[in-house]
Amino acid sequence: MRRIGVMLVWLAALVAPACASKPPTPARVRLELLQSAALMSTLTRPRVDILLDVTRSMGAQSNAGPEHQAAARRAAQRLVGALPAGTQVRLHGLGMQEEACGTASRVAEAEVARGDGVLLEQIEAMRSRGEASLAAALLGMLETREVLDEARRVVAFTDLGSECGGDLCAVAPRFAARGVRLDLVVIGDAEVPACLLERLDLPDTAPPAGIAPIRSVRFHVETELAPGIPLVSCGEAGAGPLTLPPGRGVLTVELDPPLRLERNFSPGIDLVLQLVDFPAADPPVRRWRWQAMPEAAGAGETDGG
Amino acid sequence: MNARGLSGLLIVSLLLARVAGASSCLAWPGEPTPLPSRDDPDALRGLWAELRVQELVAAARASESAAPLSAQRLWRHVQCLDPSNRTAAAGLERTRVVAVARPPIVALRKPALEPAEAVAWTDLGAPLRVRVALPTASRKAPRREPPAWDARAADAAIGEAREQLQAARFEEALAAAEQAREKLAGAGAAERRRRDVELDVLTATAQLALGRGDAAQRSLGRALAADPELRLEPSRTPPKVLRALEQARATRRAGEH
Repeated sequence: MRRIGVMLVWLAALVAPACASKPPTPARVRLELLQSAALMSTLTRPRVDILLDVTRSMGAQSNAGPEHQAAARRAAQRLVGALPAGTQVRLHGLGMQEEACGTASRVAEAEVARGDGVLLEQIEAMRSRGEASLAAALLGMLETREVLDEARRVVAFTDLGSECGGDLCAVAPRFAARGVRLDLVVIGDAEVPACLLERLDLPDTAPPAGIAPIRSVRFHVETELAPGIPLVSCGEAGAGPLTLPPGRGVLTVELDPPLRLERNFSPGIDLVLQLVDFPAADPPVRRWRWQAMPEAAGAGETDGG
Repeated sequence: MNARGLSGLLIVSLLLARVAGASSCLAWPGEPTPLPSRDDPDALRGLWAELRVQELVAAARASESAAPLSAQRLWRHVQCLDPSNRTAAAGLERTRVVAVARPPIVALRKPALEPAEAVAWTDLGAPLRVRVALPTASRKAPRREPPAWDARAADAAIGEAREQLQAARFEEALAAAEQAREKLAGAGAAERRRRDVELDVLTATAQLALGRGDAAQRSLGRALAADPELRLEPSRTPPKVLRALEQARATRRAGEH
């Protein structure tokens, strides 16, 4: 039965047209590209949520003299003044509602522009009306989902007054789960809960959102099917091996600029071209090496680049 | 537990830690699997890891301000490729999910040159230079003729401050009291004294509500200086204010002896 199968293969090779005829023992080659992959693509415009605590406790004087509220305003204005143009800013006030324990109020939303003092004036005009819970306000701010939460920062200027309770330690994991950064700017001497001082990382190790798609790199090998009859075989980096007629040939990796390598493709040998390509490195780096399996004389490991 | 058991436990813990570390270092799409490291025995894979580290460090730095948690992912991946990378360790510190800054407060008593333009995120913990108002007496304001004294306008302004206070709008009450005080300019000593005392008490009440105890003591001290026998109606005055008044009186007496 096996003998009949082999005979049929040879018979097919004899009757088939020349371009489709295959040598009985082909060479095989594949490309392993170690490339500069998954670069960050352009991020969406950054967004900053500023929470200014104006609850009554912020009226306390600091040891240096100025009231905590004045210092918090100054800190918030300094941040707004230094943000890059185009940053989306939402300004929230804590304690601006006439309630015993209210929520944060949205005061303004603006895009930072050079010389634009609107937000600075808004910060100056924020006044205390009542009390509110910082923890509840921070959690409430997470209810707004952005296109890319990781391009979002929440900054709270506060004395950590806890007149309305709330657990700040419960806030941190929620920010981590949503991938939103929280900056707490503490005004005054209040003790910061230890849970906030411990390093908290994101819960997973996935690549960041906004990754560029993987580059698909093709290559082709020019060989001769028979003297004077060229054959071009095409393959893709990372895919299975390409079968070729044995003999001398030129392998071209379709990079920019292309990499052309002349090589003898021996029958029964699996060749692997391992290529490192970092065109954006300074200076650009391109290195390669051939590996043959099984090892054959003259087809072993050779480096280039 | 004997020494052998302890060392066995240690080995198991180390193995588990190694497995946990390895599991967090998976290759990202497009990267070689398993993920190489800079000290990879295979030179070409080691070279890739080195170049990849450079690329990721640049990307992490670029996104750190606008998207710190995306940068954290990049820094963690750099650590997978190069576990001893100090830049990544520092980057991870900067890009933690919750960061706490406590800027020192510096009082500026006279105008001073502001420091160079702040850097948005790195300066959150930098000293805050906050202007404080100078005491009125020390200001060298240009000499102005006092406005004509208008008792009705002054009383209306004091009434406005009182209303703001009763409505628990304490900041507004302070501002209204300040405006009312301006309307006392030109008044005779006798006409002014009663109104000044009332404004001082109003101001102190608002300051106490805002948690500014020290400022309230100063206001009540001024009121007592104008009227050492000052008494407030207990049924209409918050106990906090009554206590503060007695404290100011005690401080004043202590200062006299």
